[in-house]
Amino acid sequence: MTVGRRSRLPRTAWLVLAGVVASGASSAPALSQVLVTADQQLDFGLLTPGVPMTVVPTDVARRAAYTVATRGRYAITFQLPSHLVEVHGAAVPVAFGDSDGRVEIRHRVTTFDPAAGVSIHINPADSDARIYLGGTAQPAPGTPAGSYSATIIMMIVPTGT
Amino acid sequence: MTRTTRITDRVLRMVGAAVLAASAALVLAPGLVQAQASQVTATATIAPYAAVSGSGDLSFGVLDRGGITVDPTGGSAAQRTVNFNHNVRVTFTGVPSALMPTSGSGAGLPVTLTCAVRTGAAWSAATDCAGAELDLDVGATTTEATLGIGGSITAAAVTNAVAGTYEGTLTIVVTAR
Repeated sequence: MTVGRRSRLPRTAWLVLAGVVASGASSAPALSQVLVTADQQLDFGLLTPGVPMTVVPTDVARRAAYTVATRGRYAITFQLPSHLVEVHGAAVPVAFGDSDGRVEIRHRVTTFDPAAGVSIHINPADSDARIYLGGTAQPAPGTPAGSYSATIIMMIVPTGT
Repeated sequence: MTRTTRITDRVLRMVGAAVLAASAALVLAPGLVQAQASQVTATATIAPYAAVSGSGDLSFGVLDRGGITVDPTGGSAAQRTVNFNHNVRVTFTGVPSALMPTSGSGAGLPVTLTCAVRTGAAWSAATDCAGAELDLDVGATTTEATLGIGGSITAAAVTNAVAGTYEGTLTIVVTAR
């Protein structure tokens, strides 16, 4: 009786332990392996003072583009600039509208407000998500000639599997 | 308690501790995942820009005797507005030295056309449009200027002219500098 109990319980416990370790080994790396790539700048191109310029998130040549290669659930937020600036301090206001964000996961398309961010779920069968941004530059009349730029930062935080 | 039982209990406690440690590691695993950030640059280019707008001609009126002078900084002058976003130079081409009769092919009516520019509230000194170079600089608020075009016709020119209507045209050229 004692021998039987001594031999069965440790084996069961080790099986549980192995299961836990295996479970941890299979889920944690899947969450941690997130590859975020900035693929393309948001390019408003040549502007005329006083004339707004809009880049829509479906504009293949000029939209900002990121690729997120991972699986699971993530919250994506952005630090958006309010102005593009040039070296002498002149600025061009820039705005992001309700539908200036776009997520494509395989054939699923979602539009979102970049200021509010978006939650995504990349299924195991999917390989990655493409994030696109558009926006509107609004150069005031008399804005001096020059090259203007600003940085857009995208942050991605895991929220589950 | 037998020795066998104590050993079994010790093994179970070790196993239990290991299970707890592994479970803790599992719970902590998502916490090890760091938020990631990536950035792109938004860019735009504003090209040198200038535009001339406005309408209205310079009229010397009806001349029967005596000459006339129209101040380019006055209300009777022809005016144009220049909008610019970079430093520019305004010059004039095709400045006539005589107004030509609109009918027939008679002699011209000698004229001297003068130009001035206003940025803010101040007018520059009037100068002969032919050969004038009016530089406009972009300042903190200066992106617009007013061109004034006047001129003068002498009494002698009027006396010698055949009655009729005379006209001439000049071209305003705005160049980046």
